[in-house]
Amino acid sequence: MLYQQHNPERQRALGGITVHHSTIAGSHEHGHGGQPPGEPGPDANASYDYGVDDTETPSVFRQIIRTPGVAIPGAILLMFLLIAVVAPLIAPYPPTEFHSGRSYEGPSADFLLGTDQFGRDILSRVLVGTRSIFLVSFSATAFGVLLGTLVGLTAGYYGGKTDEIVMRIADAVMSFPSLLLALFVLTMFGPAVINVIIAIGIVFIPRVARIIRSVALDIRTNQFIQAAEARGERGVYIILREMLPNAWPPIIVESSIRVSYAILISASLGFLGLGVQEPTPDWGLMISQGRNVIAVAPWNVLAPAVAISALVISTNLFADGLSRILLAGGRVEGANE
Amino acid sequence: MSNPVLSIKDLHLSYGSGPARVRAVRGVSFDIQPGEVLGVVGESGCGKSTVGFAAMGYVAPGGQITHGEILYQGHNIATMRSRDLQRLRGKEIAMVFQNPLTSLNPSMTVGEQIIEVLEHHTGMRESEARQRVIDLFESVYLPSPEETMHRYPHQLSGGQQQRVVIAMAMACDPALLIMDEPTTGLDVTTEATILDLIAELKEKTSAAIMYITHNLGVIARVADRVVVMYSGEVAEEAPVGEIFATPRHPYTTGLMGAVPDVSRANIALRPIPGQLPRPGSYTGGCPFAPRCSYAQDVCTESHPPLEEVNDRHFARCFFWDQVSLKREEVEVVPEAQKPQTDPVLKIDNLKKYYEQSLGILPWSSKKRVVKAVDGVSFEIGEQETLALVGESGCGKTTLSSAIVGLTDDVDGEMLLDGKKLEPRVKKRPMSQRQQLQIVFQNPDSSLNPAHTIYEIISRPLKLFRGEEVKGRVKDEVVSILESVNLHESYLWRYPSQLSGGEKQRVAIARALAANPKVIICDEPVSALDVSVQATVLNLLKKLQEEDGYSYLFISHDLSVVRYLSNRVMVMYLGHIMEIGPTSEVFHPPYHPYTEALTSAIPLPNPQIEQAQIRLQGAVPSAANPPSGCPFQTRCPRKIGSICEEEFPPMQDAGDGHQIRCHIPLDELKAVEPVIRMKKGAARDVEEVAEHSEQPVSD
Amino acid sequence: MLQFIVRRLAFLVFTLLIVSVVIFSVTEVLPGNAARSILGAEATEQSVAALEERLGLDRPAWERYVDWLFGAAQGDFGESLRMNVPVGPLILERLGNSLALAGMALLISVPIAITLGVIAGLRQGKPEDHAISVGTLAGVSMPEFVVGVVLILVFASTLSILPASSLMEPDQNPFSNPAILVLPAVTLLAVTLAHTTRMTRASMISVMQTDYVRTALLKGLPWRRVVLRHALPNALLPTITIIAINIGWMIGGLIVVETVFSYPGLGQLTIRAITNRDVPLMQAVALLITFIYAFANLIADVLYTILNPRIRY
Repeated sequence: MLYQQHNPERQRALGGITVHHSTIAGSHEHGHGGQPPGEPGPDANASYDYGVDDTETPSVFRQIIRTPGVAIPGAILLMFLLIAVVAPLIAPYPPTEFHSGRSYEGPSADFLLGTDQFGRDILSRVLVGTRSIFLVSFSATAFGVLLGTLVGLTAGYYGGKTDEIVMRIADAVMSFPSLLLALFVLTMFGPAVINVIIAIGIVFIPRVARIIRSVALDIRTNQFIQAAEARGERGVYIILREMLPNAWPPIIVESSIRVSYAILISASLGFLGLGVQEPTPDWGLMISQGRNVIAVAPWNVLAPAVAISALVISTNLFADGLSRILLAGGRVEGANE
Repeated sequence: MSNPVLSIKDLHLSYGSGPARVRAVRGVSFDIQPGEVLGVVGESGCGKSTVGFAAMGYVAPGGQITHGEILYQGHNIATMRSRDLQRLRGKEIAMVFQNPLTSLNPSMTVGEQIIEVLEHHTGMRESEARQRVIDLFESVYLPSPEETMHRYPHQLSGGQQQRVVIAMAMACDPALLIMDEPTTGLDVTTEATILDLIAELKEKTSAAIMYITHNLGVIARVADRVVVMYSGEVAEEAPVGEIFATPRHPYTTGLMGAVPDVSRANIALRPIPGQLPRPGSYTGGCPFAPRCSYAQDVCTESHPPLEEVNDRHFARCFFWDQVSLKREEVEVVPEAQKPQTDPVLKIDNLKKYYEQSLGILPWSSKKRVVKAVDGVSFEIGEQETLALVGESGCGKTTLSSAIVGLTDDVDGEMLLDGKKLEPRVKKRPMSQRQQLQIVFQNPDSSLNPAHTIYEIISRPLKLFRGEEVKGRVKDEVVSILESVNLHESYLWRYPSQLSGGEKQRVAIARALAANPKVIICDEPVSALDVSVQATVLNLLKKLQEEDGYSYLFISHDLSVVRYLSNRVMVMYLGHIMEIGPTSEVFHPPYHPYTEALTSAIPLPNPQIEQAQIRLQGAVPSAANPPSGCPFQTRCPRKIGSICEEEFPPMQDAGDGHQIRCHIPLDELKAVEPVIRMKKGAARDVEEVAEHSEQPVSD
Repeated sequence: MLQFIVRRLAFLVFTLLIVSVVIFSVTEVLPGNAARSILGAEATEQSVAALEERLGLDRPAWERYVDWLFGAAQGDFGESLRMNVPVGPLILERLGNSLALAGMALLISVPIAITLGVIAGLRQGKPEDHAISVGTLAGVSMPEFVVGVVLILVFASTLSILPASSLMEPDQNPFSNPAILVLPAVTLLAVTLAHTTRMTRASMISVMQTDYVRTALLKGLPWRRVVLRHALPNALLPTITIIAINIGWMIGGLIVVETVFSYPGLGQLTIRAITNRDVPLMQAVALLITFIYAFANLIADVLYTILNPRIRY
């Protein structure tokens, strides 16, 4: 339910259904994979007295390696990342180099994926285009998740009026559809890479805050929070030292989901002409320019389209698998734009 | 003997496959006769619920029956086609579940949920079914059946929900009824009324009942015959009287020695050493051998058969003829009449009222006041344990959080060592925070899973005694760990790597690290398995004797309270109804509420007879408390309009024993004791202790 | 219940107020002088000042905000700076076109999505489920413009059976030439279908694991009845919320899809307003879109509350 919580009313409406991150309490129950579901034991009256760590859950990394559904998209992602790093070295031509008289050429030995209207090599542009997409989506995610997490943890911990005010504002901001809000922010600041990052980050803050807040509310019900309060610990200590370490799994999962949204939004912005600007190669922009000549030079559209789809699909698969590993209950579909 | 209704033969059941396979049930066999209640008892993970569900032909996803037969009236359920199973389920075999709220469909009225069973299985028309539901609801004593039918599950109290589930199970007069912990999670007085209902059903029908529970007291009350399960196997099987009098399996005797019992306050509690095995960790030999004081080489080398003690008593132990129940007498906790010293903690007329907004709009002015704690006064002396007893909603949690300073707007005075305690912990000086520590109910929740044991214990140490322990924090943490009987090797572990009992000992160690005077223990054992509860109780006792801590011990479990505390106070709807030395509180004169509570405790002792005093209805809301005496709406001894009109006075029964009631003390004194020996019972409670002269070997 | 609706309406008004302030201040601080950007770089200082006066840009911001807000409340959003037509009627016409597109996509996608989601949820881990899960994952991963462009490539450029562009004459409505609706609607549908399916599946799976579904099975009810009577109603409840959230998605999708197909709807108008710095148009479009989204959420909340017996006011 975690990812479906959209506003406080509905949350209450769900009748106290809260997500229980097994990562927060007793990861052992789930570590065996075979805890007989029909054997709940004396519910409130007994903890599983399973004892020492001979069956400790394998590390997250090892679980990723062992699950092909996660390892394969993970490997593809790594490959993309590698391409982003070495793109200028492996690209056959500089991505902005004009080859006069050779515009709209089809794939050939010279230009493996053909050329665009200026005779630029599409393969090189697709390869180098990886850089801006990674830069934008990762930075925007980092920015949005960082601020959203802080806001969410604070609102969730303090509750009451603070929570009410913060979340009402978040709700109001969220009533702009993501893309529209990003467009607005960009209009305000003008199209530039840094502004695209800020725009997407701003879109993410209330959405991340909402989710992390519900995680925080869940963590807050634990008695170790009361124990810390009874010692007289300060709010900052409780938020950063007691709550944050327990919020990592959902934060990581949320970040991985956010990356895929960031790729989608930044590509859409590029397509609409408001993202990364010429001459920097950008997949969205390439598709936008290519669609006018789709009848004569479809490779202009196909190459970036395949690249972007492959990237988002593997990001989503990876996020999906990661959440299944980190949040034992699995990710409830992200009704969170 | 007639033909058994259910006959389970050598049942093996596992979950998962390959190396991860968990053999949850191994070679379980037993029969249930018509009209008989078979109690299946065991701790978490022993496979008892799995067997219960298997008897309905239901195996949870991922599981499978690998061997054996489940014969219902001679038909094997284990191999039955699902169409035939559907015909049996709900009609001939029915189940009562542990958690009634989640077991009922939230979006259907409770009436509809029973009507569909009747329509489906008996072909009744709706009007007939409706009438039948009303009859069923009357037979389970649900108030105004016709209205209740149209309610949704969440609109009923926990006890009522369970009555609905029982009515649903009884709808088609099943021949076999499986009850899976039906009273777990209910308050003790509600539990007692449900157990009465089950006893009544047993008289009325000829159904065979399989009653699954972890609670020995409940077993003693409902069962005719008992099967004790451990680690997926039957450890022992015997008629109920015999299993409590002469248990023959070391696990059974261990359990009995580990469970506190109000009727045997002077018997030492002995925890079973070691930990519950993980389901599926079985490798061969006797699964109990690692924890067994009788174990010899043969126990780990070969698997013991189910030995016949007599024709109705079986024990899976090579040495069953050596096993006997030994009870060791200990000194009863000294009873204080009132604090012997100046009170360490003094609470005077403490009140905590909440305002609850009634309107939906945030600025709505419609508010009502919830009086969670309403004028509570008490004192705790040095090295004294004062127990606070009450059911859910009585205000005990609010009281404890007010004392540790986690609540705003508290009225009244709190004095720690003669100095005023500010309501908010932030305003209290460091020394006061240090002197007052708290141990919470559930260590899974009170220990941060992201911190190591070292971090958990060193934090209060550095915070409160930073100067004192400078440079030797680690040594100090180690010595604190040792004082709760945990080895140094635990320092760098995380809570998830510890067992429940160990975790709670870490939580206690964290409180000790501050070097406090008063420790508030908020239900410290109710989240633990019974066999390890005693470890924590004995530890608390030992620490108090050695270091002189004062405890405010909050509990709903009167047996635990009886074992540990010098004085007891009983709370109801925010008020203290009775306070006094422990033994006084457990004997007349009682407050009528205390009397009802005592009568409701399920005692693991079939030779004891308890007066049947039952409370009707649910605890009223603290937002809308009854006029006059808070208890008058449910009081079985209500004397008249004075109870409805006037708040009762505290009557002094001497020796610091006070009762808040309108009934004259003399009348209260004349009340029969709730707990009596059964007539013709072989031995007296006191004698039990005397009989066990030989010291218990460890 | 009434109180609940009043409360939600109050929040809607509150949201719109906040949004209006945000929109107004954003358009206020836009880089570049609005008057100059209209008149072009060569305009004289005098003519810029004159236009500013005509537009009322010389008055204090809060005054203009109040004026604008009152105007907006009465449906008067001023005049488009570039198109020189009143904004109100313009966006109404475009809204009609967009609603036709979005409504069609929604009407088709929701029943299919729920069916697929329920099937996948019931057959969790089986081949049907894998097929649906992988398909929908691909669906949510493809940006609308990629889907749109690929559809154009296949159906317009290669097969030539559908038009690549959805341009309309000013007095036409989308139903006068339904062929132009097909590709944009399919594009929009593909993405929302995938989303709703995945969420319905997740909701179905969690309901099938509840104790009460197990209870229904152990009551001896036939599988069909367990699913239809016990699981479905509870699983579909969250779907209401999901559909409302999807409307947010759709609006984002509309902006892109309408641009891809040159479909004269609200989304395309938004982009035009933004690229032209047409402030009154931008304000009106943003406010309208926010209102639609917030209103959809309100309806979902109210429906959810009415249909959920666990909440009774």
